[in-house]
Amino acid sequence: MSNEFTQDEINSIVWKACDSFRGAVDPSEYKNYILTMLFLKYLTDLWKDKRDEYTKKYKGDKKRIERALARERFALPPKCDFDTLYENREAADIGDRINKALQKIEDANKAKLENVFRNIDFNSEAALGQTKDRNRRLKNLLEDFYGSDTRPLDLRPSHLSNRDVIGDCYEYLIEKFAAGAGKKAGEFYTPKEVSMLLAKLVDPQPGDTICDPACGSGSLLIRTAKEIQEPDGSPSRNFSLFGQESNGSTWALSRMNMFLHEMDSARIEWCDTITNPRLVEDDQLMKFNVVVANPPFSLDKWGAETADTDQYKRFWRGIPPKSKGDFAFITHMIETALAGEGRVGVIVPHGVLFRGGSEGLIRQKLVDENLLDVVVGLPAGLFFGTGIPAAILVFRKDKKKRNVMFIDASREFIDAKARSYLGEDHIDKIVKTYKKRKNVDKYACVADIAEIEENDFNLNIPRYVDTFEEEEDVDVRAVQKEIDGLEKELAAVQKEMAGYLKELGYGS
Amino acid sequence: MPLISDIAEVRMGYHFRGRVQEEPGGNALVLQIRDVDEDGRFDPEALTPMEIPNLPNHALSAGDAVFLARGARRYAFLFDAVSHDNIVPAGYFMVLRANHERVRPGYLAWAINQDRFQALIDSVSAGTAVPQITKSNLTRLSIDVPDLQTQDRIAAIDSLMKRERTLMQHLTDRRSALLRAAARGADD
Repeated sequence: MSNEFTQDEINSIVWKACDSFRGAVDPSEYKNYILTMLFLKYLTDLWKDKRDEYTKKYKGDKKRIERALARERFALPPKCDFDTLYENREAADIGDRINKALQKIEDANKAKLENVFRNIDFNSEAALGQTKDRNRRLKNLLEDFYGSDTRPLDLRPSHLSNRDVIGDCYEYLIEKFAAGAGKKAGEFYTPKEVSMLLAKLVDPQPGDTICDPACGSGSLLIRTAKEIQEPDGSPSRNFSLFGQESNGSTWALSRMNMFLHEMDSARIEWCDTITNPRLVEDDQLMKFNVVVANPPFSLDKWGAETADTDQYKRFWRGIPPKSKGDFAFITHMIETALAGEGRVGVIVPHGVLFRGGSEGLIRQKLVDENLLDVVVGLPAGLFFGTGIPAAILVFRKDKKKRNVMFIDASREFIDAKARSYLGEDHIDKIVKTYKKRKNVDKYACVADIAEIEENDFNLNIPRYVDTFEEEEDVDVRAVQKEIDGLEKELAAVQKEMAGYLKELGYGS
Repeated sequence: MPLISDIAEVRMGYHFRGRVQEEPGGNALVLQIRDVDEDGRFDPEALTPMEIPNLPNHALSAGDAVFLARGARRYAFLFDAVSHDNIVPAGYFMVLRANHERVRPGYLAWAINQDRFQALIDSVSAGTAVPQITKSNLTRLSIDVPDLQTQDRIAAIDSLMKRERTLMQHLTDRRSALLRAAARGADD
């Protein structure tokens, strides 16, 4: 058997771990406990990996090994590792021990992990039940992540290759539970292929700063960073990542996710992007080369009341309606993209394309300023827990030609039972069409801004991309002949029927 | 009036564990509710291929009356597609093989669809959300059986009526196409 753990194996461990919580913890909360434990396991294995490496290098010289370890990416204080907790899994105060271990890890890595474990309490009676139940659950959890004696789970990086383990696990858990919790807030985990497509459309380059102002667990940021290639085609590490997330436990997940991907220097802030943007420098909003996001769809109560007096004056184009925050996020993203070169990629519900009122006016300004570059209509049912059709908008601050491209990608997807998927071919086709910027019959259209103006700045895709399937030319003679034939046959059938009816004693 | 059990042998459709999953190259074609309309019309090409053990025990043969035992409308149709000997109905169908001395399958399917028999079915159906009728309940229902000649005539008329419906639908479609073409011509 290979040393590498497949995502399936890790998923099955995660699924087993869910069993430990079932009945006590709300399904939407499982993921915080499980992913935190997954992270602790990762830290431990990584630390062991390094210790082995230095032991070999310094031939067992304890002082030198310790000195080298102290300079590592993170410090793991003694007895705070997963293995120690696993050995103590029978202890009566195991919940408290886990909490203390996490706290010490956080303290030892202030700069990187501050507050990351603040939201999670492994000793909570309210969340995990009374002592006896709680201890049993935690023991099971530790055992699940230990794996088996014949195949102990090993998460050191060399055994994971370069995968989005937390992201994939998160996706797996959401798929399993169809996360009812976030649904009402319009929050949807961005499926992998959609993130990938968005990343390719904004085309990040080496040296770029990339920001996701509604970053969730950070997977979109990570995927965007992974799109960056050096001129020779090799993956680039030359980028910096920024994010902001308002949900505390999701923010903690994104910190862990960054760590798992060795993107430790990513700066992820915890606060509401619209009412309290934290990515600021010298009292100014920071500006980025690339801004991407899948903000909550049509967020109610997004903070319209403070928009008027916004100290960064972001809403000068107009204030979006109180009950629909879509344009608040779009506006924020555009305001934080670098002048003359920034790219903005955002996933939006279709309403953004055509709704009137203040949204219509903001849309008109964005088109007039020649910022909008492409509108991509996506198939329905791509997201977990909702069938809502979405679109991707890309804005560019380096546009020259006054036109907008429309791509109707809504009819090409893989139909699966739970949701639809974009295949690699579909993504490729969209990206290539965008780059060529040429009309494609029934698929893509480049419209001058004058034409959009004629349409009252309504961006509804069917107005620009004609997808009407022309009826095949009718051979009038042949159809007439066919009709004659059908009429004859019908007459014969009716005659036969009358015959049988007569035999039954009815009819004339 | 005889009981169903007196005039026909009833067996259940094929019961799948889990959901029906396509197996390309399978020896059978699975007939599901969504594949067939109330007149018993379906497109063999659209059926799901699967591997079914003991196929001859489960496959339909021409002259079987197929009865949908579950759902709001429980109807029957005559299976007369002789060219396919590998079609297997899923578990919510029942197959009635008529004793030809007493009842004609075409008549049997027609009689099941009549209001009178439908009311009997309703009276013994269980299940609030999705009503269904069990095999033993079905076999205990009684049904009108006139003489064979009358049955043959009824079955023939029933089948002609279905043909009539199909033809009229075609006719409507083609006339609409012709009309659209004429309108486009006038437009040019």
